[in-house]
Amino acid sequence: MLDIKTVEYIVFGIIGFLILFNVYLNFNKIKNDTVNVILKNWAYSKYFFITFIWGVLGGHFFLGTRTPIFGSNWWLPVVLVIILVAILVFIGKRLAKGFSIKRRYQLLLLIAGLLYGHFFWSQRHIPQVEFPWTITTTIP
Amino acid sequence: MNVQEFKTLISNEKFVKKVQYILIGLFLFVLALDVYLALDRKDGNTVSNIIKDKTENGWFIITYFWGAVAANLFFVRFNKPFVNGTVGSVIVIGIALLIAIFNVKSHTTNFITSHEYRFSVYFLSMTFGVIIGLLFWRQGEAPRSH
Repeated sequence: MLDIKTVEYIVFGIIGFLILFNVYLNFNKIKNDTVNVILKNWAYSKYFFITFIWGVLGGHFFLGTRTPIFGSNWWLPVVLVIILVAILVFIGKRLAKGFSIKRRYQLLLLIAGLLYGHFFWSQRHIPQVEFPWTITTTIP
Repeated sequence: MNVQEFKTLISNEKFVKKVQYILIGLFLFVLALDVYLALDRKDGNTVSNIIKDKTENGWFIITYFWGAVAANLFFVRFNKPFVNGTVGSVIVIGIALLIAIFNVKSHTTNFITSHEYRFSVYFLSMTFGVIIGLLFWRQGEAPRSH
């Protein structure tokens, strides 16, 4: 079991590593090898699920509604996002080799991801809300 | 294209492949770590929890960079930039430093926390990041084929 401080060091360690690595890649002799360029090329070709994921993570980390639409099934939005990403990867894989996605669809993907993260995969849900479909009946 | 140029092109592509594998490796590592953290007996130690806590403790720099990086990665420009790439990066990072130094959180908390849509302060800083990113930090047009 890892405590919160350790995970903090790991997470911000990885981010710090990526920044330093990117600075190195930017100033080395090889062109177009930075993390930014690689991710952009991926997001504009068949791996456009990256844009969607970025939106989902933004909504999940920073926004979030208080009403849990799925009740107490915290795992359901996680499974659903895996299915959605799998569908996007599947569509991407089937596209032609030189395929390049239009910029306006990137906006669509980002906003769709944000809305998903905000409404379905929120971290700010209040713990218990009774919906007609989540009420548990107790046998007297 | 002579032989030497061709050789450099091939070695460049090999290098880019390596960087790609490093990125995929890091991503899979974080994913596996997060699954482990979500399923272990300790609560509140997942990557999501940590980033959320940091944001709520005034690290607006995270939401800002979320927006700026989104603009950088996903919204290429078709025209010439009006500042060159290095100046753009300096501006984006400079604003981030200002956000950190002036501790924007302390100026927003009282105004926002009592409001029903408390999260809007995060949305505002994300949008601010996107706008700054769109202005100063976009990449050139995506390659047509690769």
